[in-house]
Amino acid sequence: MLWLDTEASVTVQAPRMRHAVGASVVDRAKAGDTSAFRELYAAHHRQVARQLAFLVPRADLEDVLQDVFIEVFRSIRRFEGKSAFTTWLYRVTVHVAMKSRRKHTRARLDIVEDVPEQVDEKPRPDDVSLSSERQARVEALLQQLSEKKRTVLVMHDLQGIDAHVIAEVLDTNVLTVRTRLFYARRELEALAKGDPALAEYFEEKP
Amino acid sequence: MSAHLTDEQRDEVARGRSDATLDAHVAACAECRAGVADAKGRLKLLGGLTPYTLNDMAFRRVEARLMEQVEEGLPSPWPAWLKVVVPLVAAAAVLVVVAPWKQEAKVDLPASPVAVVRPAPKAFTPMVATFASADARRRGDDGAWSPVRAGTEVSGGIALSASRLILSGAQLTLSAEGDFATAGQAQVVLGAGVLAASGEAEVLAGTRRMTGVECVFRVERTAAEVVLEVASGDVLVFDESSAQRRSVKSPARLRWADGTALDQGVSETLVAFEGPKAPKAPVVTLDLSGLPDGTQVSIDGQGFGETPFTLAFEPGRHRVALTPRGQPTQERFIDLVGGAPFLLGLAPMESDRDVEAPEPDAAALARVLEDLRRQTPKLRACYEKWLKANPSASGQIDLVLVVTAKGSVKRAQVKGDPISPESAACLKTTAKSLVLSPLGSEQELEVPLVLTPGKR
Repeated sequence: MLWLDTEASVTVQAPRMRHAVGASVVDRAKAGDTSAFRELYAAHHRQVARQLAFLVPRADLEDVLQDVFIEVFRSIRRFEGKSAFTTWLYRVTVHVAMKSRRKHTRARLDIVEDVPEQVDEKPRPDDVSLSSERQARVEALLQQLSEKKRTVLVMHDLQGIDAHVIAEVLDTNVLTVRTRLFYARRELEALAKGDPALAEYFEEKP
Repeated sequence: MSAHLTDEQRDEVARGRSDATLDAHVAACAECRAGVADAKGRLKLLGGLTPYTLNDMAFRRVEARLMEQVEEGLPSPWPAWLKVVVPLVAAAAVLVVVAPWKQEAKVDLPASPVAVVRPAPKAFTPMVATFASADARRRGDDGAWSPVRAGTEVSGGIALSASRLILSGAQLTLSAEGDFATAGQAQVVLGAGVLAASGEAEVLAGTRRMTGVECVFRVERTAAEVVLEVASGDVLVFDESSAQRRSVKSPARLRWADGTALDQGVSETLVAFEGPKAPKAPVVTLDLSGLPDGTQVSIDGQGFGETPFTLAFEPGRHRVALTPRGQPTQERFIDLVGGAPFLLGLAPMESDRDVEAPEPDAAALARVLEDLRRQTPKLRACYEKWLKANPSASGQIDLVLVVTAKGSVKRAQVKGDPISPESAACLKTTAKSLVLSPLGSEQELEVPLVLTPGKR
């Protein structure tokens, strides 16, 4: 099958001593130690930013990342250690992302962008990555979905999270997750087919 | 099979993983074929997306804002109207009680800064505080003073006050003793311009602030509109009135129909000092909170005086000399790596030294890294299990390994981005089979793994 021919890579980065960030940092943060907050941010900011991609628009990523850590700092006392800290953090991230969407939809920057005129290249069969313009269009379509549908679609189809785990993170049941996923996929397909720059992806090849 | 395909079956067929029954059904069902074509299109679109993240400067900005908030007290989750009404009621109550005995209020604020910025060029260079004495303050848009620490990014247009402060841009380092300012306009919220060798900067006022790192941009105002042209790098536009942010990547040209939003700012002469070579971003913040007050700090032969103060340096190897009051000088080399702050403390006295097994040195860790890299194919096989379920799966995880003194892996855990359960289980099992160079004692290691799908 095609995917077996991929050249997927696993890049190993320099190992570090574990005791720098561990359970004790969380305990210190729970006790209100400011330097522990700094350590938590240093250890997890990149991971949280990656998890926020597509859940929130690019323009909001910086603000939402900040909101996530404010929420972490504010509610860390309620973290009981029943799950791993990163699992709890992921849950906070998703919930803040959903809440931020509601907050930010009220007022958007009134900017008119001059997109340079370009000849739209056909996607090459050996290149799966989208051109920057197509990427921007797909991102915009994702943002048109309701936050519930988009969250499930991004978590399942882009982050590869199992429906059961999504249900747990969102405090709902698997059936609801599957239903939202079904409608999110159909809605995205319909939106993309209606976009002249993306419609060709849906043309049936003989 | 009489009913149409389910959602999962559609995706299975679209991925080419169907069986003969499904294939036969699709061949006979036009509606299902159309559904499969839609699923294929969606999978191609989603699979071709490149995840986005922030650059180092943005991460540092968030960190600086967070730490400011943490130290000043986190914002209340209460509704904003309650935050306004409650203090007003409380203040009214206090006034009623205290007014008859009112005394002259004593406000302990820094002396009014001197304005020192003058208009000029067309690009913007942010400045980063690389040294900040404990009394360093900056004035916010609301007129309130807040602390400035090393690592804080300072835009033109912000009033500063400090007994000693060193600001570094890409081209110039500014340093001053006594009251010091980069601008005298507290209401100026936009800092756009360049600090050139001659020490000039352009400042524009308005409700939108633009910042950038190693970029060139131009802001132009015509009668009807304001144009932002980004020639290289990317510029962050922050709208004060709506608190919205937008990153603009080059080449790009943005225009605002409401040209009234940007006004020409007030500008005055900038006093510049030739300082040490400006560090290259990103700088690393040195956390000196563990040093006793009054400790003399010297880095690479340059004395910085006595703690408390904050300091930031460019990444790399630096020679540090620390002299606590009444104690001998301790000298050593430190390796600063971008990202996390570096905790600089005194070496423990011989009697305080931990009697536990010594930590492995950098060479031992480098050997372990080599061992891990050699055994990457085993780890990749686990990642491919995830890719099988989701062709666009990617992320960064941490493999937490408890390694025995002889180099075998005793325990393994997977942390970081969520990955598929099969892949995580496989990584744990595989990690336990890894053979690593001896570290001399049992150690817990965190190994970051970046998982990237290949091209198909």
